[in-house]
Amino acid sequence: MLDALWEIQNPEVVERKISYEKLEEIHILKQELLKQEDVARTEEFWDNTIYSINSILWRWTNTPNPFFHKDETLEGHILNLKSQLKKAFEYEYNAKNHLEEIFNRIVSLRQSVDSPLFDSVAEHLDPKRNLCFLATTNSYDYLRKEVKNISKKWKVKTPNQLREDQIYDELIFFGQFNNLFYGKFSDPTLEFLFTSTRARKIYWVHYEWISSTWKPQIFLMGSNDANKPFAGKKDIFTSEGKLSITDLDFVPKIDEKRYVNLINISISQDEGNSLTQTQDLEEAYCFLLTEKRDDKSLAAFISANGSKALAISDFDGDGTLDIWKFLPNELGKGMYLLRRTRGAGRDVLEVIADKHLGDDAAYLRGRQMKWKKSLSEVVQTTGLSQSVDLLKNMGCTPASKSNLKRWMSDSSIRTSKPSHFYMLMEFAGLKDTASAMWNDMRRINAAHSTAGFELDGLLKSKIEDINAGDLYGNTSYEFKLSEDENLGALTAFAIEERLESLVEVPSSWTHWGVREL
Amino acid sequence: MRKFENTSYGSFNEPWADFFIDLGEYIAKNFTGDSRVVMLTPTEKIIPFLISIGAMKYFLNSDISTGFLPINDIWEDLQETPLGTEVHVIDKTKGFIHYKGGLESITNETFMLKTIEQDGSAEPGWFYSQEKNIVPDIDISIVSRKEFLPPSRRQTDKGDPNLNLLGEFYTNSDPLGVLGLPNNLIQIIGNKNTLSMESNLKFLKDNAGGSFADVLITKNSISKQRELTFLGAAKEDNLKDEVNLSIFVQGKNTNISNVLDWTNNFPQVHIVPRASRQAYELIEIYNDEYLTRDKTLEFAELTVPIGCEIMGYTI
Repeated sequence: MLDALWEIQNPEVVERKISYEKLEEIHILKQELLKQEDVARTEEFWDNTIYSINSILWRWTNTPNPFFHKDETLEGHILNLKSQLKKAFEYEYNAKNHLEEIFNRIVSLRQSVDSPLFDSVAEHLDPKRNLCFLATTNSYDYLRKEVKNISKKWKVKTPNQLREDQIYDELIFFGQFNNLFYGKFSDPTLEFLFTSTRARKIYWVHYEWISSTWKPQIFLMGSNDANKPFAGKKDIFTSEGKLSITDLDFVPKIDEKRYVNLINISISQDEGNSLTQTQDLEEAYCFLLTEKRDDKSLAAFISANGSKALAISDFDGDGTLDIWKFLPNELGKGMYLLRRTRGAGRDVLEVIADKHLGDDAAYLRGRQMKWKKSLSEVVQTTGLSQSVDLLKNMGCTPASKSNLKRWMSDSSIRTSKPSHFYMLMEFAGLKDTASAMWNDMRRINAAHSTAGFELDGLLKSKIEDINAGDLYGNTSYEFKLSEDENLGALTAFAIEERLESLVEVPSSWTHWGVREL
Repeated sequence: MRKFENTSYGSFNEPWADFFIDLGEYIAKNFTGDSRVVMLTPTEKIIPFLISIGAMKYFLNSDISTGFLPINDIWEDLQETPLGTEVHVIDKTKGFIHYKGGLESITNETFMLKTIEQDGSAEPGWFYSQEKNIVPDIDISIVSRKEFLPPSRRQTDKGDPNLNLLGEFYTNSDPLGVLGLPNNLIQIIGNKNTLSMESNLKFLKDNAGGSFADVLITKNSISKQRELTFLGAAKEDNLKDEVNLSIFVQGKNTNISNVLDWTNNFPQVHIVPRASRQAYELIEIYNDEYLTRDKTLEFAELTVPIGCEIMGYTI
């Protein structure tokens, strides 16, 4: 296998340009719409409208599925367009007729059973050869069903499944390279699919009227061009279309500022709610989810303090789901972010840990709250920066603004080292009980470790036997943690986008649930 | 013919495999100080072992040790060897016994090794006199510039070296020479479980069979104590300062970015498979380092296989 893998490292790249007028016409109509006087993306109405048109076109451009194929995201955008069209007539926009024409064409094409990208290439492929169809989470289900009917030797894999070293005769990639690589949020390492190939021949199948270009981004600055992928040639994946339709013009781009504003509005609403306790803000990554709720975007936040988040997908390529932990910057499109969505209004780990603490749980949690309350009071009188300085002078070396905020938060249990904890207790005015407090916190910590293992086991038992195809294509998927105990539920949400900038949000937002924006 | 029993690994007959062996030899021979060689590859599988074999080929013929020589040929050198220096003896008078110790005493006709820390214990020694025609059937290897630190308990080798396989790879050297080399000559750092598994994969090379563990003398291939090539996880605490070559392998469930700041004034090789989730982040770091390099390292004498990108620099 190793010899074979090395032998295929100079693959033949074959471009297949597919024509399909009904889709091309919508692209042309969109170009015309953009030329209309009152159409500008700086206007929220048009930004929202164009985003949906682009999202629909982008989805159809990059998936081999038939146009009628079940797709919740597409449906969401079509519904949004319908509502936008109604408003366009109400507000009497000049471009309303252009928009109506586009909408009608989209609705009409949505009924079509045609799957131009797949059909036009599949008929030329040899059923006796080992083929691999590269699928996104949107096309995985369709491709699996289709290829199974044609040849047992044909396989469907998502990009991450190909990180293993299996090799094929031919790899078939549908759509535009920017579907994989556009934006800082995309995973640039996926270029291995082309630069460290798993197939002797790569078919690039895409629509003929779209111009695009892509070249590898991961290379060593000090290496010879001859050793770079494709011997350093820059035009391997360049395609000239027509009518100046370039893929980047219809990549659905989000208006980041708009989302930051929406987040700030949501924070203000929370603060205005007298029932909600005022909380510290912390820096977090904001993930926009594919799922929408009442026309509103859903977002999940993950702390930027180095915490990892649980995500599910078929990471190891065995066809079933896996649950892995990722740093927020490693999470990408095609993954599903796991969030606690139902159950007790606190971390499920705490719920399980308290079960292990038994009758002592209430007492020990009370002790945990006691030192946090004392610490918070001293920090409030002394000031945050001053407190950090004082703690450092005492020898509590991990003291920093963010750590001190974390120690004061409800979720932290203790510091890593007892010596630092004792200093913290001395600072909080609890010197005399520091040792007893440390022992109590150790018990909570041990219960959390046990709970962590139990939760891992629970999650794995719920998730790891599920066929990846059952999840792919859905915008969300709910898992009930336990039939016997009230541990609530977790939901896996498909990731649509990530804001490039970090945002400051209440700490509680980063722990569980999703927010409507 | 070089072929694994494990079919998912298959064979490593082709020039790409020879390239990595040649590269290891080239680095050990030509690069000094804090040299760093970085590679992007289609897979990380077995590459560190091939590079290590190449480096070991060079070390066997370098001045790290004299290599095993009959006592007649090395006696004069032994006379000038400072006490405490690591010396290996293969005693063939009672079969094949390998002794490793510090040179404890030497006279015109005798020498003794100290093999364990405890004083007063029986230690091996030999009598040698050409005039009296007393020439023991022993081969000796002196490890230059290395003082031997005796262990607290006596150590014995549990197995024999795989001389057939050693002979297949180290064709221009005495295969026994590996026994005369010091521990921790090379370290391979990455996912320890994967490295251990790959080091023990069985393969055939022409008429000999064995594993990379046999060829590189990793821990337990001969004994617990003999470990010319150290396999370890990517944590700075694990790294060995005394090694002459470090190979860092980015792999599943490991991240070599944790140890990128570590240096020991000897060359390093960094292997990054393109399919690694950390490839982008790591290559950005290496490229930044390359921009502030002291010197560029060249590989003009080597034929780099398609699929492998390589650069070298000193930091």
